[in-house]
Amino acid sequence: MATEIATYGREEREIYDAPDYDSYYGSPRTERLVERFETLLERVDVCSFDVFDTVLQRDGRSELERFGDVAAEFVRRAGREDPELRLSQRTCLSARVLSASTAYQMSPPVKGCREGRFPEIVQNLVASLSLPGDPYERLWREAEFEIEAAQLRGAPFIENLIDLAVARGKTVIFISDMYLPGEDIARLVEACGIGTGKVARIFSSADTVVSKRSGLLYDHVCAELEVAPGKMLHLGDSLEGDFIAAKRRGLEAIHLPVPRALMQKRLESHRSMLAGLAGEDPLPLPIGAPVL
Amino acid sequence: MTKPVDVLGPILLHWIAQLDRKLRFLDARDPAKVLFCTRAGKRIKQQLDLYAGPDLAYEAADFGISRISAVKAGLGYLKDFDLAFRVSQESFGGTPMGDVCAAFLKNFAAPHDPRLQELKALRGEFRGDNFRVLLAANDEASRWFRDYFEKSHDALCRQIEALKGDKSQLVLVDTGWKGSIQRMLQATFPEERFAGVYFGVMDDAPMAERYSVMFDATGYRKGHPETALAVHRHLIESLYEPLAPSVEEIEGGPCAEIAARQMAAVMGEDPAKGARSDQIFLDVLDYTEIHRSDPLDRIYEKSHAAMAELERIILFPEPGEVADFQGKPRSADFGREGFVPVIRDLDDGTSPEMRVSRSLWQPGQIALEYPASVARDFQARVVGLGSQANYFSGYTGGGAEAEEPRGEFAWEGSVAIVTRTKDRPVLLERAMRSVADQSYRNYHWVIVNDGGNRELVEEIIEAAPIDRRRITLVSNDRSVGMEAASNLGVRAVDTEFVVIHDDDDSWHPDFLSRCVGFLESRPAQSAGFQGVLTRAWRVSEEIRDGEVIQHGQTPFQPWVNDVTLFQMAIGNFFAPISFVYRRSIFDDIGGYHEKLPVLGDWRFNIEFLARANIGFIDEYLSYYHHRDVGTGASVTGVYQNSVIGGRSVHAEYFPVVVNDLIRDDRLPASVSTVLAQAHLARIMEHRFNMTDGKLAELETRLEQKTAALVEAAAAEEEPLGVLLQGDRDHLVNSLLAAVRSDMPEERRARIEPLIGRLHQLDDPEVRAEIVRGACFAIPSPADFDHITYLKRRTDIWATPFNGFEDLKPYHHYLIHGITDGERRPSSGS
Repeated sequence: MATEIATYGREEREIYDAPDYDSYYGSPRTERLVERFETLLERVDVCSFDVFDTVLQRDGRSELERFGDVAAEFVRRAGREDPELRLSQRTCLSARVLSASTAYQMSPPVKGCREGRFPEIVQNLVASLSLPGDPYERLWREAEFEIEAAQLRGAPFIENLIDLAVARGKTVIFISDMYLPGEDIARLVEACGIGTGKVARIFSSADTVVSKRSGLLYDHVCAELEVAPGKMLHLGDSLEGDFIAAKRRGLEAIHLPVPRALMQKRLESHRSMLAGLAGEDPLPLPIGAPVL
Repeated sequence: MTKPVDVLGPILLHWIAQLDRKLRFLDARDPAKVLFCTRAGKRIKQQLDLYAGPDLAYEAADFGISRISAVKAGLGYLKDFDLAFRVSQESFGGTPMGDVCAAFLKNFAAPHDPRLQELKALRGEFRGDNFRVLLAANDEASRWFRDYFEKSHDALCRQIEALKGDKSQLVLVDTGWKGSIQRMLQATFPEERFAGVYFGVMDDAPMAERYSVMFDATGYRKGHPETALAVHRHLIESLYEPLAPSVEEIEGGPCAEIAARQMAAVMGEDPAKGARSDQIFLDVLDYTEIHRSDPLDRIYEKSHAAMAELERIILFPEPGEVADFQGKPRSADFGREGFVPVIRDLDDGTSPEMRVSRSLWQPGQIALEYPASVARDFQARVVGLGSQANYFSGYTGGGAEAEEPRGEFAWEGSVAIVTRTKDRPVLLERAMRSVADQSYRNYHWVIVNDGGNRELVEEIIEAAPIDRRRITLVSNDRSVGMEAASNLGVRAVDTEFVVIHDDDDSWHPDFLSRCVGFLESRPAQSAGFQGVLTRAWRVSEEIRDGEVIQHGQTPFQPWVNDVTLFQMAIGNFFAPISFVYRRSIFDDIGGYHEKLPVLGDWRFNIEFLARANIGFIDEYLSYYHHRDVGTGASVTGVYQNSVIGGRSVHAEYFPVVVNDLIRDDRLPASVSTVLAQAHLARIMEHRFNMTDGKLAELETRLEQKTAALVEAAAAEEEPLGVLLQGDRDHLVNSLLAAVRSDMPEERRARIEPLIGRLHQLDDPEVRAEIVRGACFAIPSPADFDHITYLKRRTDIWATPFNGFEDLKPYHHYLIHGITDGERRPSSGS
């Protein structure tokens, strides 16, 4: 009698345990991942990639720190616009977070999904600061876009996978659960040096409201592209949205987790931001901490 | 001592700032008319004007509305009867129908109006069916009553249209809780779009476009200080309640003048003339004015700090704080007058327990009733923080630090799910879905392919929506048996807990979450529970053409309420699918007994209970599937259950297990004693079962006899679909009496030609012609129960058959009811 034990998820574990993206994606260990990608690619017509933390990689800054940077930049630009204006980074950051929370709570649900939309968030936050929409909405949008672009970088390894898929004649698309509309995501991708010419479509939950996490965005994409779920391969970092939901919908999927050490840095960044924001009392803004 | 405004000022400033932001958001999305609902809306708007200035960024208006006026509009034309009745019943409870009518009409009817007296004389219960019939009836009082609601509906419709103007939505602002007014208005006027923004929401029923600003919870949740307000929402109600009665009538409606007076009273109220809580409201306004320009982060920060203090005050008030934070007595609404005290008078002649149970703020009442040394524990219990079980580990203050979240692959809390399978892909796929659907994610799924086709198993794993890092496949090239397969699976990974999930069973999505939560809870640990059992459904099914067909489910061993060694010694009474346990006990036992082809889990359970306790979760969270229907492979082949398919093997190995256990010197001697007693219990159980069997047989025979008797009685009952002899006689006699009577010539002329056709009454068309032509001459017989008939035939309400002119429900029965197969409703039947 012989017993064999096979453990699954080796590549996922290696990425997760790596100290950062480059340590894994720059190593020969990626060969197994590429092999699996190619095997699955054979079976499909459409190859889909998540955007944030997949095609575009974030660093160790938390979302809260990033919004903090955006708020600081906005304060600088608003000050240039009106030197009399007295705004603090803390106030603007709070307005950003509270408006996002409002937008998420009050956006009309579509098939049970909600998504805050960036233009509405900016409109509401500028109004919360008692500032006129013109020019401050534009100033915020520009500041946020530039900070986003500066803190993201294209992932060369993923770009290679995209090229491989294109070379094999597959349709390549991006799918994102994000408050930014598809056209803004395209601009960010371009700004990070990845050409969008090889990407047939960019789908964002900000446009569709239905999300990957609910699985409904996959239904939407398959219907739009007239492709059977089994003929589509999706890759992304979110276990729930990019892997489990895709598999439930019948897609082929590869989970590319964010390295745990990077998530730990983001968690520390989040906590340190919150600590720094405390005045006489804590300022527990309604924004989720990165989950390890 | 804390001044109320020091706590409430920052919180209510934050609420009003958030309200303004949310209203701006809604208006920007879709142009909105914001309606501040009386009564609380008056003071909310007053505070909002101070915060945002009188020129709000959105169009706003005061809206004279109350739950009772919304109900009145909903009852008009029965537009929203069900909800309107439900809301009315919440307020009226067991009030007699007549008193309910009087409450609705209190501003409309003159006290001596005979129609009011007639309605007031209705002493029956206020029930939906009775109320509906009353609103549909056509006597003068009912028509007058109905007319009042219809006019109210029309007036509110006009008011809403005028308020809406060219906007696309109406946004209601109020203190909230359930949003009943929004729900009723939306149901009554479905063509309009209503949203609602509220201080808080306390309702589990989902509702579109209902938004809470400060909290959304039906009770207090530790770690969420704002939910303390769910324990004492009256504090907020009281602050925003003007010194004026509810606006119960509708602008431009049947009591337009009164509506205008009520609205003017609300809008003109002066909080300065009020009591303590009105003074606090004025302090809050002052606070709002002083701090209105504070940046929103500062407002948020101060509110959060104040909320922690308010949480403490609401849950654990000191006696001296009760007066400041109780609020004013709650004014009765819904057509009633008077006030309900928040805190009961200590001299009211009842017991402290009674006063606490009736108090609108129980922790406040407790603070006054009991010495501080015991009050805190009582307060903790009434808000759900304390119990006998966690007497020493209750509330420790709102500032307690949250525990550091565990990593997603932490050993603590991890569960090995072991699935044994062999060539049953249909079932394995279902088991995979059961595992994938678990809301608890820190598990490791170990599939033990015990000599079956490995490729089939791998295919299912590849398709699984399960994190691949959480999957291990143990594959044997030939079968090692159930118990050895379990041991291989359990030992393949290292986790804190273990559960055997056979390939043919399944779980509720919260199974693991509830079981791990139980085992990790402090009470479970102090009681020594190292395993936990849930209730299970027994699912009856068959496999046909590669598909699982379920035939039903029944509770499995529903008598089980706990897990004792003694009961287990009598026989195994639960399936592995319902049982999660600590690996340390498995290690101590040395795993499952591999030499046993069956009953290995029973032996394991006895050994487990000889070492540790097993807790019990009284919820049906697991499904124990049996292929006990159908033929062929479904019950005898690869898909057979070991219990169904191997019954004789179980009998064969029963004494082997018992004897081995008695001889096992690693177990305490008491286990042998228990097994010996269990033997006697089994004998008794066997006898009882025999007696039960005989009784069941007798019961079946009795039922068969009874059924035969019932059938015979039914055959003797009146037939359906034909004119009954009594009604035939009544028709004939009525018409003959009419022609002999002194009636107007025109009517006689209508009857006479019909007399000659009375022998054709069995023909439905002729009968209809006769009844329609001579209905004025055919009274309802005394024994015809028209109320019951109306309840059955709601389709004839507000039609000529409900009393207009000469037609009556009885005529409908003769013309339509008989042919529709209606049974004749007779008084006393």
